[in-house]
Amino acid sequence: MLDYNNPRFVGHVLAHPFEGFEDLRWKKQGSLAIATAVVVLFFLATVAEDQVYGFQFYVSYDKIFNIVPFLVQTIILFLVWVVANWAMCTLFDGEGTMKKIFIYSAYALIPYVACTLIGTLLSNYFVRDEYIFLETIEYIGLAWSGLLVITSQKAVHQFTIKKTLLLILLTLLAMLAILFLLVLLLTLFQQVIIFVLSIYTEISYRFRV
Amino acid sequence: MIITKKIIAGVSAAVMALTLLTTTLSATSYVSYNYDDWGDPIPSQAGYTASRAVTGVEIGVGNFYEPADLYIDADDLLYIADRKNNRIVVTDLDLNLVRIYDTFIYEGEETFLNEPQGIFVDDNTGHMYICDALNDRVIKSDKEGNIELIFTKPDSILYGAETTFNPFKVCVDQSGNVYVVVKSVNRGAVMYDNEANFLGFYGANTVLATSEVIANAFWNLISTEAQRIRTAKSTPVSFTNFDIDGQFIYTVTETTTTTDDQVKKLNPRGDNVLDAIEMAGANFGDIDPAYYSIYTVANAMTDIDVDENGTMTLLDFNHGRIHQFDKNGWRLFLMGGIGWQLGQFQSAAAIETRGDKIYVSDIRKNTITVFNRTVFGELVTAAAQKFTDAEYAQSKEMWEEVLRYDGNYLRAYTGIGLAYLFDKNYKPAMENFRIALNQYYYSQAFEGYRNNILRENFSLIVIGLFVIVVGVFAYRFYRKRHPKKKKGEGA
Repeated sequence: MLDYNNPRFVGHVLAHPFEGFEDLRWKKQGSLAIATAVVVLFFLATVAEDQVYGFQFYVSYDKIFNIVPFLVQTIILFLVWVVANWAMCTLFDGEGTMKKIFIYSAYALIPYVACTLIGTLLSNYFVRDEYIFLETIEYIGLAWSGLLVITSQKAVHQFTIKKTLLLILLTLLAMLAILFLLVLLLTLFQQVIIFVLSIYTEISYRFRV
Repeated sequence: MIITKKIIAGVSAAVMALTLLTTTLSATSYVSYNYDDWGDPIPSQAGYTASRAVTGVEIGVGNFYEPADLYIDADDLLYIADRKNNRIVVTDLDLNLVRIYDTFIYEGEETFLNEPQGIFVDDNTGHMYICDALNDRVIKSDKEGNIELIFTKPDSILYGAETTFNPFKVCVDQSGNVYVVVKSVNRGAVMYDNEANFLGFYGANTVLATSEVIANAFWNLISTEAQRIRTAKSTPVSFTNFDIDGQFIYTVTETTTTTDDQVKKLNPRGDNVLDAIEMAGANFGDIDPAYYSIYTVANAMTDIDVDENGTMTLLDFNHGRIHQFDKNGWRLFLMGGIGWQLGQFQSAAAIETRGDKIYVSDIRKNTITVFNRTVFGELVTAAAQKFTDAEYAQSKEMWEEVLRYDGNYLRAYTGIGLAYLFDKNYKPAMENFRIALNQYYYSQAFEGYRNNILRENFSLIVIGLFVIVVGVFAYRFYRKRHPKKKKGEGA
């Protein structure tokens, strides 16, 4: 039998895409620490893919390196996914809590992160003619993670497959809405800051005389 | 002691700075730059400098009035189509007057030019072909001014009775076929055989399927006849100018909304062979066009000249800039700009090259500007020629010399890298391709490098694999004999 009290449960989840998350839920397992580590690794893998991918395949624009887009693409995007999913699942009577959604979704990301890291490593040892191998690894990671996202959602909310797919679609729409509002908020704050600054400038000129 | 040292150091530093200044600026009235592999402009050494701008008065023929076209024939004579003065001025390469053509004899009668737009000299037969624009004809004349043949509007249903005939530029291929660019025709150049019989059209531009074109096609499907008449039609733009080099005809198109068809190199069938070197549709002009507050200045290629090595020299009317490319589409130099100073243009109209000189006519300044190749330009051109001829080993030292002048000249790294690659010296080849951002050759060098490492360590790798396999089997065997105790079961 499998040792359910072991962090190796991660391995069980990955190797059993259709029942792994159900087992995880049944045994009340899943570690927040591992999940956080996965999200951080997700971020690092994305940066690594841009910075140390084999030169023969990909050249990053190395005159500027800006960390913010990578943060937005990975950690912030993941958090927005969790929040949007949580917000949507409450409307659908899903059983997931915020913490559970975070952990299950992070577990589902593992294949993608692993394949990205493996691909990045191998790309330094392959030549252009062998690109097909790297592509295959990438697609395997994507497909596997995609499957896990669906089953993890199904398990965490205890939904039927139809309802799960609908929820995922709605979550994506909610993410768009959240990101839109975030951009709006940022712009608004920018305006406020400019307003305050210009008042300060104006006053400082008046008092100088 | 210390003070004198300081003074000497200061003076020598000043002298060095001065010499540096004079050598790097190399006396151009515009910023000399080039593009790196990201398409960003970077400062570069000048490949050519403008040596003089010659007016008609200096030649001794009175002022030019819109010199619209230039041509240099096999005898190194420069033909200037002085449009509004209705004459052809012939000079040598140092712009000393040789003769003027303004009167021609046709069937015993005198005839005159009316705004000659284009001039071409067939080097095989020595005949001049002149686009006599306002007389609606192209004349073929010998060097004495006797007209032998006149090309007029084709009397063909293919050409269309209502289409006007206003010849703009002309060129002749080796078998004597005559190609005429007519402004009112967008189906390519009008093509005649050597007896002035109309053959057809040659090398038409195509309409690129942009989103706008596709959208128009969609609306046309559902709109009524009356609406359809009022919508703008997507038609190809006719090309503006051309040059011929052996069997290839090079065309440039001044007004394009896309870079597609901006420059084409056509084989006798009319196919664009720039496809073969992945340069079809590439941006031959400035990569970042000039932006002003309300509008963007697009590239407008108005003339092209190709020399015997296949080096293309393009003239951008809108930026007043000259772009030079070698046979394989590598960018060599950029020069010029808009302005009134030497080396700048107001309305650049025509370009010709011969040897290390470039001649540009300007129809607003009414001058012929002469550019001379610099030492740096000479070096790059020679190295590029070796590169084109695939003599990489010989070009290596030249490229290293180029880098001493201009460390930003990225193509030099590719050249050096190729020399190393053919020498099977993979490690430095990789380093050079890396700097040049040349992924394709880097991959090739890396393949060789990897094979070398695998070959040198072959026995080590085999032994390692063997040890791992044996180890795994031994471990399994051991585990079978001594099963792992489950947790909590106790010993």
